[in-house]
Amino acid sequence: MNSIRQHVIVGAGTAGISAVEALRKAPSDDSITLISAESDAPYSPTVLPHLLAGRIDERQVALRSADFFDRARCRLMLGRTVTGLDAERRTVSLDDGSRVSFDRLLLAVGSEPLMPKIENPDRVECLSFTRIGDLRTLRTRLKRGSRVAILGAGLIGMELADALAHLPLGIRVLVVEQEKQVLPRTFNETLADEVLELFQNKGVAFALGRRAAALEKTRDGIAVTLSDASAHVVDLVVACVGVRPRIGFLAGSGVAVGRGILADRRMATNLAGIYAAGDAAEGFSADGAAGCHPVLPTAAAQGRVAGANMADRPAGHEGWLPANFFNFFGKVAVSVGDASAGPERESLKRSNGAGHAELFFEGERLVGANFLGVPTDPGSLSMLIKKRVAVKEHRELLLNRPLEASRWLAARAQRGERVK
Amino acid sequence: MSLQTVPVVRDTLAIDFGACPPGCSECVKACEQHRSVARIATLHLPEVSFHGAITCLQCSEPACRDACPTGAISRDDAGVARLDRGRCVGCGACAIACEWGGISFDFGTIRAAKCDTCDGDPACARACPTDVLRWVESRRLFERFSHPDPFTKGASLCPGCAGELGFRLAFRVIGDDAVVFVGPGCACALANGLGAEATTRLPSAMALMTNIPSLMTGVARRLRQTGKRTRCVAFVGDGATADVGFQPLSGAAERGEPIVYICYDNEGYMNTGVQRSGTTSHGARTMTSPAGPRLKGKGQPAKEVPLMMAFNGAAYVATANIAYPEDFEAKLRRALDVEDGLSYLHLYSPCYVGWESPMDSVLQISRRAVETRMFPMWEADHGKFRITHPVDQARPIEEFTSLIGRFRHLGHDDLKMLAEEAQARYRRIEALCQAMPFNGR
Repeated sequence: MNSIRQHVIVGAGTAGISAVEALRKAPSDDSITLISAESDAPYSPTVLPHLLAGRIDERQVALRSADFFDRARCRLMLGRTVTGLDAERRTVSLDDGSRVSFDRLLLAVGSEPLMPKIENPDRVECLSFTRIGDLRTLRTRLKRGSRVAILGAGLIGMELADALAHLPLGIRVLVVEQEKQVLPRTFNETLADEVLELFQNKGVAFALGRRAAALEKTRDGIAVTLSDASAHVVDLVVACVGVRPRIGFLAGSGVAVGRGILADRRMATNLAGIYAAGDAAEGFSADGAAGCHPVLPTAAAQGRVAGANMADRPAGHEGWLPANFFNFFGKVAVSVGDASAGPERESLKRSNGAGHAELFFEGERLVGANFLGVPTDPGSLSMLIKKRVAVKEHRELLLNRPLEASRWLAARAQRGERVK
Repeated sequence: MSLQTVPVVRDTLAIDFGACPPGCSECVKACEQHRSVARIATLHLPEVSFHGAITCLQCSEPACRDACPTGAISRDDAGVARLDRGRCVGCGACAIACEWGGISFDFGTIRAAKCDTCDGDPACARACPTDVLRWVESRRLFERFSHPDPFTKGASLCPGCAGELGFRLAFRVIGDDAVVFVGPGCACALANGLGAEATTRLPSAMALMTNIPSLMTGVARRLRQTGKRTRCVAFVGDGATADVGFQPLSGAAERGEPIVYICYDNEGYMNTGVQRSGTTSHGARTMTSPAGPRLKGKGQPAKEVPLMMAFNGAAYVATANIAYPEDFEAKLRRALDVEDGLSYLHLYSPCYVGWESPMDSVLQISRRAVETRMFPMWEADHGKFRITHPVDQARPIEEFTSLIGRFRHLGHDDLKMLAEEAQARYRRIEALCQAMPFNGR
């Protein structure tokens, strides 16, 4: 009935690989080509801090076993960067000048690091930490007692600071953040302060409410001048101020972009047969708001949806929900949903020496939660928030026993039972 | 490629969720002893009188596997999702991705753990002092449906018919003490078969479109007079139910006749060449509601027969859908139990022939009809309403209509209208549930 199609997937991260799996779910003779800018076997950048801290080594981080791509009849093109897209002729061009034709295309190109606006007359090297090459560079630069300035106390910056503090090299770390707290938009102030203390106890220094204004080479190293005119001398500077979708190569292609590649719930772009998923896609949240959401479970879900639609099995993405999980020096910090105060919101807090829990409700439903040092089940909590399950009646139980109560409530909701 | 032999018949861990004895944690202890970190958890919540065990369900497409950044989770050929703990970095992505409580994250060592079924001999099931945890052949889970085939000579229905799936399941639930009634329509093959041979194992009778409930009334009353509990069960299409034969149905409901009436709704007169009926969807193209330059398929929304029945004296009314077989089974059992009035089941039965869909699409269409709120799943037991499958967020209507050819001519605005009607229909049921809530039987 169908003719044989050529599927091309650009980007071999979590979204791209989930799409391969979805495409191969039903039998077909369609071809699949997966193009990766990386020369390494497909991996996830999430592993970088864990590699640096030595929790795992480079031979253990391939996303799929060696025979996966053969079994999936997927042609893997490593070390090739896509530089352009001709939607009319249905080809993508590569950095070696060649072209690859497609019938259906998935843009799972991921994100690239943002560089801070900073005066840098000496062109001091400013490292980033989003690719395995960055990790290797950082490793060669690190020496015993190195002084490292991390610009940005967001997700990547804090994971990096944690990894550096774990290394037995006596590395001195300074984290610079323009907001007044660490992990802004992920944790509220109370929890952020706790996290800050954990880091300070391990000797990590912070400059909060300030941004790096200038970098200069000095005899003694690199002088980082902050917005309050204080100066700090370090050996290395790593910019972790955020990431943005890697969409520069799409200029003039006709693919509609906003902050990322605009995609509907089927992960389809404005152009027929062209899809987007993962960090690069500007899809929808569970509440229907448009936006990018560069985290693993979202990339996996969007990749699955895109792959299914490419194979003519209609599917829709239910929408992403913010959810984060960190291990900071043996204490787990979890944030799910939108854990911020608001006029229509009610919050419930519990705090003792061992841990903190805070829940946010809107009407009958849970909208967000923050935990530090308290065992919980972020997946069950996500489910309750996304499916708008009415749970407020059990708020005390959720607050005091979040692990058990969230699983009980989610399991009931999964079985289609309304919670009484 | 070399081919492997992998048994397709599998065993599985069956959990009777919520049936644990209070305080019992034998499964957790056994798992800990066997695997150092427990991969099963008990939920003891005396505050809400809940005691249950929870572990990985071994999904066929594990979200934990897809989210794991180190490739530490894989699914083997025996269908078990395995975690290589040596490659776990404790990032928690699996615990975020799994919405089923299947990841046992160890907050002590800060590494994930998950059930691997102890390679087919789970220590938890061996340790369980009750029947809550059992290691069973997965097909045995369905043994309660192992009633003999209800058809003697095969069924003369189209291959892939949703109605046939419904009939087969219903016959297995009904058992042996029932008489079946049909009218002209696809299901008349159940009574008439091909040629002169009846094709159901149960005694059956075919009436006219206009007198099925009347015939059932007489038979049911006679059976009662002779001291028999034998149930009278009708399988009737939507044409005879909603249009041609509504009067006697309405009368039987109002009189409180203790009969079970199942309307298999394929939204049209399908075995006579696809004409529109009262339950045909708004905008659907049929032979008598064509789509062209002037007309856009059926110009009116569908009659809501189950609601009409709920306000017409029926003791028990429910909508059902073959994509949710356990739910259909439970509702049919309830319908067979009710003896103080008429039970009406409205069984959604997409007809791929008349709906211009692929032969293998009826289950997917059925599921999408629920998920897009086109077909709300609810029941009204003696006037008390409840939604049996809440859909808190409707999927886009296109996921439903794109599967169905008879909607192909509809444009963006038409689909929007269809989606809005579906939302309104669902909200109406929600409002009824609030006004007349169901609080147990």
